[in-house]
Amino acid sequence: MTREDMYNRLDRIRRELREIRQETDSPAVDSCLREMGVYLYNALLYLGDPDEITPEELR
Amino acid sequence: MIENFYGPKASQSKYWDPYSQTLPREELDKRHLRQIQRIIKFAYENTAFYRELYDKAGFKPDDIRTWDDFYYKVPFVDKPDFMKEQDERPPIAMPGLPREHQHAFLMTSGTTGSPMRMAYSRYDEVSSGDMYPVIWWDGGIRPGDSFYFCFTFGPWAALWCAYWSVKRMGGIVYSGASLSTEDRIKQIMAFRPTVVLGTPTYILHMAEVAEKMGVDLRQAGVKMLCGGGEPGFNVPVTRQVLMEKWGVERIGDIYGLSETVSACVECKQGDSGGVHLHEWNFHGYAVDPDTGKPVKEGEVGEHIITPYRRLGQIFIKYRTHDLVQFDNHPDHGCGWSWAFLPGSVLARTDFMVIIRGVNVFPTAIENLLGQVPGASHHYEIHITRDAGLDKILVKFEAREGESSNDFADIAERAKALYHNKLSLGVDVEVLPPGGLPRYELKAKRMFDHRPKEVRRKLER
Repeated sequence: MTREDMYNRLDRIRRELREIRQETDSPAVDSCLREMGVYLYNALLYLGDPDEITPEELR
Repeated sequence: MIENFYGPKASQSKYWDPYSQTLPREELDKRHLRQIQRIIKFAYENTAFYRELYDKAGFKPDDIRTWDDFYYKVPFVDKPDFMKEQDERPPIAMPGLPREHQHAFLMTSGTTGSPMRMAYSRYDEVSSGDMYPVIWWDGGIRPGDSFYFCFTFGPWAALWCAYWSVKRMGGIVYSGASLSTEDRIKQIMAFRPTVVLGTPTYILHMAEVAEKMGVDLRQAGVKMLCGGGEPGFNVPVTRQVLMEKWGVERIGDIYGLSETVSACVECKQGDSGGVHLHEWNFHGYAVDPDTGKPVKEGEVGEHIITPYRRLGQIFIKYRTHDLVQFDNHPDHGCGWSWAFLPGSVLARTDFMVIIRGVNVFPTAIENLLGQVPGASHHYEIHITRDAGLDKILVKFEAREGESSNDFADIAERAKALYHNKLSLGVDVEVLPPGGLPRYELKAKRMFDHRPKEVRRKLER
């Protein structure tokens, strides 16, 4: 798997996480997914370019 | 555009987790049995202690198929087992995960003996962070609210769990670590936190110090006092005094053990006077402390607890030595289906005193003290044995401003109250304000001076 493949797959997971967060009625579940999103953002920073410096949900 | 901290549906939820907190009793019990089977299997496969214990008891994990199997085949474990194990297989007793998966080594507060070392994995950290948000969310606390930590960050687990919980739910931490009480009060007036966390005794002490400083804590804008470690938050009179002195509408009582993490939380119906067992993370039931047999629902018994998500260190059928009552079908308006423990912890099994056949709970003594004119809420209970009979001496401080000439009258009023309400002869000693020690963590209230051989012993 190339770095680009990794980036794209993680980015897809991040989008899916955000979709689930919009739909869940449970703050307990939402809070777990938010934490995952923060770590995913960090992983994407390692794999991506400097434009990714701001998390998507904060743009 | 910056998105909201929680999604649109979650942010409108009445419960921290609407599914688990309202699951019907039958479904909860089915889940419990499955989780018990899984944690027993996990413990057997991953810890030498449980493997040896269960082999000695003559069963394998797959033999635990019914509740009776769990109640009668699986042995209890107790703190001395862990203390012995941590000496023989140091540094941690019954670790469920290898060292590289552990995250923090903490300790019990040691109020009932030598401290026990505890291992927390990252999994434990996340599940521990699930406890306090249940109570905060129910009380209307949300991200953007702030939490003042009235204690020094030592090796005691509950403080870390509170921190992990704020991280999990979202919120701002103000740390009062290493500050004096006066400086903490100044910080609270400056930061205006929404929630103040600490033990009831210490939060009450802060109110008294604030009064001496000429500070009105009711002006700090605090919405909720939250914490545990002692029964005070669920003792009605102490609760009322705290609410008045801090001007808060909500108290959030949390009951648990350092070893297994906080297990029980209070719902918004504070007048219901108790706590709910967090049944997503724990199994709990009550037994006769002498026979070990389960008591009927509603009867007082020793709380036996099994946390499912303490993988760093495993506790299965752990003896808490706390006396509780279970109401498995609570109906006081909160909507939670989790079992309710009226009055939270009623007493410690090892401190229960029987006077002429009457079980005496220290919380009853504390509660009545609040009805004695001139008495403060700082007290100690001393138990002695004389001519084969248990005796109780209650030492308490008079309120600020009371003349020492009136101490004898205050004592007589207290004695009369105990006699009328508890049908109990209690000796009383009134001390001047400040005559008893203050504690930042758990206050030491009970002093058992009876010979060791007559103290209540538990069957193991």
